[in-house]
Amino acid sequence: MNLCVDIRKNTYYDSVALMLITKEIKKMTNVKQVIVGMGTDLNKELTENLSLSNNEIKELTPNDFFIAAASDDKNGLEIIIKKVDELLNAKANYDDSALEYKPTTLSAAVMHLEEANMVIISLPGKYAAYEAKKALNNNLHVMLFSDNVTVEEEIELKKIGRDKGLLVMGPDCGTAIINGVPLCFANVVRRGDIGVVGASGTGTQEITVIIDKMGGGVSQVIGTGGRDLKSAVGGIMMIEGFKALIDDEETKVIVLISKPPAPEVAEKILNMVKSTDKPVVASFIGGDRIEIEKHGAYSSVDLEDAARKAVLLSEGKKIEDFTGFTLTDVEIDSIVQGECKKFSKGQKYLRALYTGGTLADEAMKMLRTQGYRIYSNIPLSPELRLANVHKSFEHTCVDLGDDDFTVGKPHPMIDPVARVERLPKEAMDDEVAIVLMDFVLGYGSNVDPAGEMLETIINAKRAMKDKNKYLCVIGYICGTEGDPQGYKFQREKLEKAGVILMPSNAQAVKLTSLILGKLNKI
Amino acid sequence: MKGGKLQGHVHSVFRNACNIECDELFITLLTKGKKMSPMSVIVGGVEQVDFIDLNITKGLIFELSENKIYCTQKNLFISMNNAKKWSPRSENNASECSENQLLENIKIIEQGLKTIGKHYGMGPLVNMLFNKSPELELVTFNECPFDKSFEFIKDRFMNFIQGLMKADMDGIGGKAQSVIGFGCGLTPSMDDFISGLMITYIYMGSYYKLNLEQIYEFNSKIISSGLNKTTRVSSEMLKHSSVGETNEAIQGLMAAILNFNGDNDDENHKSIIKALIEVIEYGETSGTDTALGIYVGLKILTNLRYRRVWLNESMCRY
Repeated sequence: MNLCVDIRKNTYYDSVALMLITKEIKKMTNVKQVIVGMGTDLNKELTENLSLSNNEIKELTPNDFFIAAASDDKNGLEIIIKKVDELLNAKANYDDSALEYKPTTLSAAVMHLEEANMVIISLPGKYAAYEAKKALNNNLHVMLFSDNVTVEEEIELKKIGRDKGLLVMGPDCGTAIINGVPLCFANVVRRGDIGVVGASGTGTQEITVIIDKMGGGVSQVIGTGGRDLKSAVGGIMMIEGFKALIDDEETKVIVLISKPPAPEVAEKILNMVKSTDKPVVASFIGGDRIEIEKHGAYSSVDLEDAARKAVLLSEGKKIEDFTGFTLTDVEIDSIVQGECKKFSKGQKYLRALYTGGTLADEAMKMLRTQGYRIYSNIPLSPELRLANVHKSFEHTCVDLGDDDFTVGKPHPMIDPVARVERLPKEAMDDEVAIVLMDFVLGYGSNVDPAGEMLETIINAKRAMKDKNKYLCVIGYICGTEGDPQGYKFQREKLEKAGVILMPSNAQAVKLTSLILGKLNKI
Repeated sequence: MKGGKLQGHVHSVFRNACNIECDELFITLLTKGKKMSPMSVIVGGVEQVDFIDLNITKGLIFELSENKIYCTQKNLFISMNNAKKWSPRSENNASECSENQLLENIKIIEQGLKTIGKHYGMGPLVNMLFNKSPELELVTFNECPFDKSFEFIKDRFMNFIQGLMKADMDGIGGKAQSVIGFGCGLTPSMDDFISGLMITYIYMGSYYKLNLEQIYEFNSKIISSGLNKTTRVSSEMLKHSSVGETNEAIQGLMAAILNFNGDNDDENHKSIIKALIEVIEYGETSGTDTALGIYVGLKILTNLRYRRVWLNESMCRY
């Protein structure tokens, strides 16, 4: 066995780097034992105890960094040093991300890129409004990704934007596609003649993705931020976005997406429908369909139905509600019967683990109409709030992208670790039958959402099998063939792991409901 | 510092932090968004500072006066004219909640640590305590392999914990000295753990109206022999923790534990978990190691057998 010691005097690395080095060196095949750390007396004693010490190590001070390893390769030291340098350089490169000139202020950016007419702001909320105002004063459209901007600031910004003819998309606006360019969390969607104004991020992604799947395309996709249609803000940006699409020659059909707006705001927006000949589909998820249709707009059953109607209208075809499946009744029945046979007695509950908030909301609303009480961190009524959001109860649907799970952490569409950690816990519950999950692709999302979950899904299924139970996993990939993650690639991975994939969130929920119905005799 | 001027040199530099050593003082410059810590200055302004991008390197000379921190070698200047003062000791050691609520809050911490903690720093040793000191009613944490380095330290750790539980005023310094500096990281895991313990002793001392003078003395004994056994950054942290000075995140967590937060259980639960997350996010395992120290400290001092030794004489008569 060869002792390999690498010492870096008076050198400090942050703990993330140290832990990364420890993990990676431990993984090396020829390394049998390793200590990485600062030269404290105790760490030196530890190296001695593990026979990893030498005179150099004995001389260390607490301010010196060291690696001491036992390797059965005679070139072990060189290999380890090379690996450590690689890891540290990789971290430095990753941190630097690019060497190109990156202006550090908005004014510098405007001078650097004179032709720019839009700015995306992603700053802590308390600074975001200030920067947004600056951008508007520079006659730039604004996409405000940041949240924690006050309502008062939002109203002020939107009024400035409206008066100057500029868009203020946000705050908390995650999705837009402007002139074919996906911004923040958005999918690669074919260009076409359907214009969208959305107050919901994943709701907008779902509709645009299905438009693409059906062969349609989008002209502009304008985000407003989730608070726009509340009474206080009064739908300022939904109205401005709507007007812009009415005036836009490339837009033939308009889709409006929001959770149910404040009634007076809905009234204001729906009154505008009369001012245009363009067909308007209003998808106010769970909202009043009669009210929408009374104003001459098309209402929808769910997000998929809204997308389908928009495509059919753009093709000049007859529309009707889509409430079923893309597969035939026989095929669906075969899946339902096949799955139900595999469960053991007592398995009856659903655990829906969503990364997309609007998709979770849509799932709960659909299941509510079937009589299910779904507990959640974003419940449809207060009594259905989970006592502990980290612990499911009976039928549960969680939005892992909500503040409960994301304070100080990346959104689960970027880093799905919250779901990776949650799924094994669900598989420990003998009464769980179905897990429902979304996989959101597109720019901004994780590079491999399916891959990140794969091992966990396989292990969860195996854990249930070991208890003579069966875990049915139903999934939905919100993405297009053009998305950087590769839709087909993602689909293959999940199907291989035994995930039943449906072509829309609504269909995934409907299938879930059918299986739950058999298990719960509803 | 009033009217005076200090000179120091850069001890270590990271993207979000820069440590300046001035004789006995150790001052940390932090970027915006970082939690305030003892002897630290958060650099504000509209732009986010990156100390590495600013080309600040080890050894660079900084001068510090009442209203500015500057480095002539790099033409860097931080104005302190509008700086807000911050106290490293919590102003609000309130004991608003009942003891039953406190025990409930500790359960929330326990579950939170189980779910979101990164246990490979001190987790294996706390798991060992679960077996060796069942009266503490600790929980165990998953996925913590007990490797050779833990084998090496386990007896000393138990010795230290026993000294702590027995309030061994004379022996605790030596027992602490034998474990301080153990673990990976710029603040070794054991030091973070001890820091959490000392802070908890002070806050709980205040909550239970224990003999705080003795607790401060005990903390000073804990660090009395170990400060030169660890890194400079860590010894500074231990010094501050021993007198109850700590960063904003830990202050927030202690306040959340010792109070009932919000109008109902759900809000209380949420705010404790939120505060715990803010602590856990420090470093790689540092935050969890500190939180584990807090957790063990809470379990020791909510146990009457171990709390009894800290009771004021007047209270002992009851």
